[in-house]
Amino acid sequence: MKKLSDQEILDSVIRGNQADYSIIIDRYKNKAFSLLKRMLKNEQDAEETLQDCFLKAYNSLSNFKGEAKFSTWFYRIVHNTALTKLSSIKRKTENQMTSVDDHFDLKSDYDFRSSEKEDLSIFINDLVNQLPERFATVINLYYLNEMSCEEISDILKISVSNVKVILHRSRNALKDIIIEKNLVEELI
Amino acid sequence: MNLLNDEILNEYLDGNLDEQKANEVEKLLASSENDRKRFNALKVIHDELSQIKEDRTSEEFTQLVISKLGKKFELPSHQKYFIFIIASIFILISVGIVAYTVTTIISTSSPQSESIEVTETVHQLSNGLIHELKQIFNSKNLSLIGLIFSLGIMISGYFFFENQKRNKANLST
Repeated sequence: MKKLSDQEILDSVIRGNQADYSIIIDRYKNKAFSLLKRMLKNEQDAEETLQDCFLKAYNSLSNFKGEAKFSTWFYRIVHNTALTKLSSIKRKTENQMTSVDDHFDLKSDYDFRSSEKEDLSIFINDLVNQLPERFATVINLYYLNEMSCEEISDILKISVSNVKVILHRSRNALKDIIIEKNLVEELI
Repeated sequence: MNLLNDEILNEYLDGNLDEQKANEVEKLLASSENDRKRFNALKVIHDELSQIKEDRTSEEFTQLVISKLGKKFELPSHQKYFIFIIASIFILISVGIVAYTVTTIISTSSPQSESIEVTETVHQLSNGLIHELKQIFNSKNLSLIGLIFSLGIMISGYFFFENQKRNKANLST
């Protein structure tokens, strides 16, 4: 069966087929939820914020002209809503501190018992969850959403070179931990 | 000085280097065990991140959002209904004032006016209308009318905000 494009579904929603919006929700909810969970560091806040994002997107569908991809437009809503939520829950200070130039330390208490793939995934996931909001956002959009640096730059409203700096710094921080724990030889 | 800094390793990993630079990096990696270790660690991270699993929302998430969309749609119709009622009240008051004025003019005009030409009647009516309006809106009545309108606006405002609050409460449930 042919998979409908986002635009085809949205056209149907705009024509009055409200239920078709559930296809869009199902298509984006888990990836957007992963992003929000890593930005807000709280599952309940992430789910509530995600609801707001889908409602905002729905109510603004008439403003979506199709010039950019729906995913880019939607993730911009997600990112902005998350930033607003962060401010409202008094985490603005932390948010403002996570600029490109800021330093952060990653630590993991995870007991890495073996070189099994499953263990490593949990270990990496734990580290990614510790990344500051901006770094976690870039990692999430790049790897989970498979977006290019240009698309991420468009969503976060920062330059492509800054996206690359954030991406590289995140990977370097994770790499240093792998080296520090002497896991490289075991994993290759 | 280490020629293979983290920046170059990341660019090499992403395939952003041209062929010549990539060949140079490969030679340097082949000659330095430490650099190879760093690159391998970076590659492990890259591969792991590429397979990172998405988190899942609650089972009823989609249904919950769809049910809230319905309520969002109801909002404008509620508002339209409310605005229609308020507008109707103001129109009725205005029509009442005009009707009262016209009735007063007609009842005070002389019986001989039936024989006067139409233009004179219109002239008389318009004069009477101005006179009556002047009487209604004289300094004494003006403050009373202002008071009534202010009260009307305050009551409308109160109901409007109550209506808004109710709709917001509906959305958040």
